[in-house]
Parts: sequence; C-alpha cells; structure tokens
Amino acid sequence: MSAPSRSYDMIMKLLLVGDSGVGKSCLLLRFVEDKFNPSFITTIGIDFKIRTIESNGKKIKLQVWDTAGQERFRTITTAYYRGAMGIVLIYDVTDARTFENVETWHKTVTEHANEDAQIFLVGNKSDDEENRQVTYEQGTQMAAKLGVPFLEASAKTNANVDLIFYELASVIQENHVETEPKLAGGIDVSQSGNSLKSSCC
Amino acid sequence: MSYLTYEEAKDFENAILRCPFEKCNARLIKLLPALLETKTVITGAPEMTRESTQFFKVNDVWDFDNIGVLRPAELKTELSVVGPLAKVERLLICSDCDRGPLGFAGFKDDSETDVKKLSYFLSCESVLYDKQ
Repeated sequence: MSAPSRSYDMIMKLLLVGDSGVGKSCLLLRFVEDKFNPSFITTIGIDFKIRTIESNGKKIKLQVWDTAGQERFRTITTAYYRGAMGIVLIYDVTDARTFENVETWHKTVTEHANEDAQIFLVGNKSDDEENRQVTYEQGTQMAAKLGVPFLEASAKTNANVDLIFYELASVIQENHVETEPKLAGGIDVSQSGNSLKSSCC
Repeated sequence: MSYLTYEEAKDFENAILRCPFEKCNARLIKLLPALLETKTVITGAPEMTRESTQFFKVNDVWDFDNIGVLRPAELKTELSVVGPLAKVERLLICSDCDRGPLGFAGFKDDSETDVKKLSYFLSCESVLYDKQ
C-alpha cells in the first residue's frame, strides 16, 4: 500500500481583477512597505502564488493570480478566467472611477468565468480615510446589488488582506458541498479536488 | 525550533523544506522520497539566495504548499541551457515573506510559453530542512 502523497483536500484557482491602479499586485505582495522586499520582485512582479490555508478543518491550496497589466487585453484575460473558482473584484476606495467600473467588471467576469465561480467584492486602500471617495455603505450596497460578499481591505496596512482569501475559500468550500451532496464523504471531497486539478492551470 | 541547512542536514527524507529567512520559515514543500530522488546538479542557474548547484525538480506546481512565482523576465544565466531547460524565465520566492530567489522555472522547449508546462527547480542550498 502506498502512502497518500497528496497534502491537501481541495485546490482553488483565484483571480484578482479590477481597474489598473486599484492595488491588485499589492494584495499579492505580503509586506508592501517593508524595506526587505528585494527590488527584483517589485520590478518583475508576482504572477501567481500558491498558498495553503486551513478552512473548516480542510487543507486548501489556493493559487492566486494577479491579472495586472492584462486589463486592456480581453482575450488574454479570458484565458486567465479558465478554471477560476473565485474572483476577487477590486476597486480603490480613494478613486470613484474604479468603483463606477465595478459593474462593468462584474459583467465581464460573469461572461467569461465558470458559471459557478464565486465573486468577491473588495474595496482596497481603506486606510486612506483622507482621500476616500467611496463610502463603506456604497460598497455594501453594490455588493448587495450584485449578490456577492464584500470586504474593505488595505494592502498597505495588511488589514483584512488574509481575510479576503480565507472568506472566499470558505464560501467556495460551502458552495461545493451544497452543489455536490452526492459526492459527500471525506474521500470524495479530495477526489473532486483532484478532478479540478486537470481543469485549472 | 531550529532548522538545518543543506550542509547540516544528514537525513533529508520527509523533511519539511522551509523558507530560509528569519521570522518567516514558511513551509514550502515536503521532501517526500519521490522529490528527494529528483535532486540534481545544475550549473549556470540564475543567482539564488545562497550559492546553489543542487536542485530538487518539482513536477507539479500544486505540489508546493507555499510558493511565489514571478512573471517571466529575461534572467541572466551563464549558459543558454540550464539543466534540462532551454529557457529559464521565472524566479521562485517565498509566498509568505516574498523573499528569495529560492528557485527558478522555465521550459524545456525554447518556444514554449504555456504556464502549465513550466518545470520548477528548488535550490537545495537556499532552503532550510525541518526534520520535526
């Protein structure tokens, strides 16, 4: 008997989307302000990260993709959407124009992403109260209108950044259990993770 | 808890490979026997956190517990072919503290651009070994 080699229960591909300048890349960088970030990383930029988290007692591997720089190229972005189970739609609370584009982004995402992909609305730069143009209430109302969960975060102070990924993973996990009740049972949960493996990245 | 360097570690099997940087030491991947077997000498690799000639080949990016993959970039390598790779274009960093490089990735075929076909190499000398 061979020992199980898989070290996770589920894998999820997540995407960060939104207008340029809203801080997508910053949400992927761990310590934006820290001096020790070598310049080669900020110059080249992170394409994606694998992070393993624990959610509801399950080990979940997240693959988080930054779509920065792809905003203008719809066709390239379409390839990014393939297999994505979660999409973080980001706007900048200090830039009303990025908030105005949220509905357009939502439309693009629902057109290109998997039908069951979970969208999550995030207002970034919540630390900058002085320059705030979009209130928390506006964010909440937009999220309610689109029927998606919502959080404000700050990549600068790291506030709520981890929470975005934990919350999103948790919601996807719940959706998954609901939509696949027939596959329930410990073994099958990991099998469904395995089948996803072939369909995403 | 103290972790061993490549030189200090005698027994590698099933060790947890960790980020070498202080106050981070994030878990990167478990050194299962199959991964240990992939250890290979590679000359002319891009500059790593510590001078490296030995690398573990990670076949599937999902095997990592935590890793950051940079965007493609022109990386300076002494040789045009590095190990089995005709094109080295990405550096690997810790996904927790963003420091590195801890490894590199590239394609066997020079004309390949499909991310799914990247081969990943993790520097044996740049990571720490946790025998738990």
